[in-house]
Amino acid sequence: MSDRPLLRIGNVGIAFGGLKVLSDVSLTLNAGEVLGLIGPNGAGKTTLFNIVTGFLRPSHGEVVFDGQDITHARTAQRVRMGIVRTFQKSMVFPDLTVLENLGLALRAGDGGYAWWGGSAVLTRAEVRARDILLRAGMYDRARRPVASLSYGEQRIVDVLISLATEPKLLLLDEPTAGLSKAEGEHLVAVIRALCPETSLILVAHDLDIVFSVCDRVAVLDLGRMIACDTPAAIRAHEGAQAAYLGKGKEAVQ
Amino acid sequence: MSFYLVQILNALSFSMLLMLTGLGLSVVLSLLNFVNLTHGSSFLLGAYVAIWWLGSGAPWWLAFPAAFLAAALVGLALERFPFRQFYTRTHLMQVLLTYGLSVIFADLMRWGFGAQIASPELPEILSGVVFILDMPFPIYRLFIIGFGAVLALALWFVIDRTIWGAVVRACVTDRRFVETLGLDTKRIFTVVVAVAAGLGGLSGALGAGILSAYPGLDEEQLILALIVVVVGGLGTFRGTVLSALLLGFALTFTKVWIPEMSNVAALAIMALMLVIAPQGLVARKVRQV
Amino acid sequence: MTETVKAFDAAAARSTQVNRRIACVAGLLVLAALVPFAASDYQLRFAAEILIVGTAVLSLDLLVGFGGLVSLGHATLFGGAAYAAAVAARAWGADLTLMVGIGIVTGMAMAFVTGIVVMRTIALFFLILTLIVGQIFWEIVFHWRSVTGGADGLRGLPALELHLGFTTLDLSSSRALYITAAVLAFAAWAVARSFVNAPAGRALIGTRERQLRMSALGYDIARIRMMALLASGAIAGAAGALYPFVNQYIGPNSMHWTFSAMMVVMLVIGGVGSLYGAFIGAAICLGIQTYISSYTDRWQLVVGLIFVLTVLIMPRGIVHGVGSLMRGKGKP
Repeated sequence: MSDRPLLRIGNVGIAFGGLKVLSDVSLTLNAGEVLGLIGPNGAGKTTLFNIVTGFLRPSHGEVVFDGQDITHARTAQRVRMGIVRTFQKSMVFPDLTVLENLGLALRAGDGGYAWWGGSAVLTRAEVRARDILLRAGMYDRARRPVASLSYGEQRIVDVLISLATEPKLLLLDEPTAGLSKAEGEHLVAVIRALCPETSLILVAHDLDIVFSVCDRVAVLDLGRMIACDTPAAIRAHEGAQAAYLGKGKEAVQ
Repeated sequence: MSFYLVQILNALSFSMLLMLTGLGLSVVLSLLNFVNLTHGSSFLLGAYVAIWWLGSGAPWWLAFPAAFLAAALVGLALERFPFRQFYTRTHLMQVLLTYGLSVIFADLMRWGFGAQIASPELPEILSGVVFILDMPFPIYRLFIIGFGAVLALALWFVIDRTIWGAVVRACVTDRRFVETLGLDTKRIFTVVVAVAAGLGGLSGALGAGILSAYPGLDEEQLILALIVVVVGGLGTFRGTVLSALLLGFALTFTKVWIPEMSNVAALAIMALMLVIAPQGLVARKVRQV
Repeated sequence: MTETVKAFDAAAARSTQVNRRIACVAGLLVLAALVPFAASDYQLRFAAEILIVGTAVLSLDLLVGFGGLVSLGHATLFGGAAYAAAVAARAWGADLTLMVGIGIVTGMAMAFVTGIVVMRTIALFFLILTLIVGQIFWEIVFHWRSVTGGADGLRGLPALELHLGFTTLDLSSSRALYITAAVLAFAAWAVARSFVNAPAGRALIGTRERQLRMSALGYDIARIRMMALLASGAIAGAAGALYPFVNQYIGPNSMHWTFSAMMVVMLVIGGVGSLYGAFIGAAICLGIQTYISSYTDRWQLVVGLIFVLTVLIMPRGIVHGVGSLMRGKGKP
């Protein structure tokens, strides 16, 4: 692991109309690191995701990935560099089979626009998709339309779609929302098993999961970064307590 | 100089018609997300009703309320069935349903009112011309400008300043929230669709004096109204007014300068607007993710 | 054990399904091949018209059914190619290869222009913008009298023929026209099917279902849509090139937005997203128009009623609708 950070966000700010959604947020992430991002609703977590993945441009500040300034790069370029995200809402392709869902992701970088035939591209993608499903323990679901799966399985497919491209950095926007604790832990285990090298930024309301799997945790509140430290330090951090954990320690334990 | 003044007045009167037709379409589209292609039929129905009324010898000024009422009643009936079942369906299905209905109405009106061009017998007070800087200008067009402006102001007042308007605006933003307040949104929708159709009919009645009425006018007006609404941006009063002015002036002045290609030029201007501002001139910001 | 049985059953079911589909296609082909022996000249020309218009509707299905892009300007691509072919035929003679080539190029060129304008818009905005662009093309054709004949259109085209190296086939008879149209329709169906099953077609479906996800995966949405438009324009253009030779006439109505709307209606009646449904829809709509108009002056009323009833009773198309009615399920 080099000491050069994989991702560096420097003094990023953005405002919608008069509303400052993010102000001067700075953050670095090392290769292979798992960073938790927590904060109350409206703190700016999803906005930060949008800026890192190119869905929004910051009004000031910079985003550097792998030593390259990508502040103004398009989403497609960032995906090619290895930045992929998931969405808060499930974004699977419900009418397509699980294989096809993964196939769409696998072909995004290679042959995805082929006009005629393209059967070699399709076969290559299917072989890789089957491999992913095997490792994720979902091989028997390969030919089922995603809409027919249980909600928990759909969330896994949702994450697998993003993982399929083997990103260097994966941003997970509440992947465990609506899942039971066991399902949530299973999901995180699947992610780690499939892509042990990938750096993760994880937004989750379930603090148990955040504190157990993350190397560091960043706390956002009203668009400001109020703390970024190890889970143990965040538990003890007063600002973080007030902003998020405040109401009672039972949320933390 | 006076020539251009007259052309500006011409453009204004046409813009007024476009705006009134567009407003009815716009409010239904933004409130219910419903594409109503029968709006052109309301326009033509209003025109025919007004022409018939003006020829019947009854007090002339009642022609406009009569056209409004006739179109509104049809709108009311349509809202009960089948529009209501289609608010949550795809645009494709809405387009198909209302296009089919507009074909039916077009044929019914051809049956009832004939296929010839019909023009209203304007009352004496509205016919004739006035001289503006020595150029003759039809009084009727001034009447449209005045009537349209008053009506638009009244509508703006109702939508922006009254409790009724507030309820409708709230429905545009979040229908379910209004329901939690205990208001019957179904009834609100019925009223809005009826009033919108009525506005279409009223525009037709006003427009009959300059456009006459004939089979096919419904389609022409529908297209223009759709363009006005979409280029203006969904759910904005200001956008509809702006884009009606733009289209009215574009159509009028291209007819003066390049009569042969006037429609092409005017349509191209509107298309350009949509390319520059794909969400319309006045767009509401929507969160995507 | 049970797993393998299940897998076997599934495989068997799939293969009977495939067999049934092959049987269906084969049956249709045999039927199409039998038509020339049973039908009159007039009926053959009418059948050719159905196949040609059906092919244009099939190309619309690529946009609507697979891209979720409802266009109200599709007749422009079809009619534009028809005009180009007619004008070229009067200048250089009506060689089939030349006609189809010109049709494809014109269709794609017009689709490209439309695409540049509409690329960034979706849903209702796409609908209206395609309508505006289509009407611009229509206005140009309507007013360019020296070339297009204006409101009168173009008549008096040379006979359609096919130059082969060693001989020249005369395709002006009704039977030859029908066979040409049938070959075109089948080829178009095969091309469209292959497009839909190619990576580009799958990506198009992806943009229909989850546009945001597709951009998050690195797909260029505009590029996918443009490809769909070009493919659709090529097929519509090829069909349009034959259209003037059905009635030896081409007029501005073939480019008007009401014809585009009619195509959308045909597509929905036949079944969106099925490809072959386009031909069924075209047959039903054109059939109704032709036969009912010979019985009553109020045929437009009947046509409108049929649109409305279709949407109310079988919104997923007549094949699906009749199927589920027969299975006793009623509404889908």
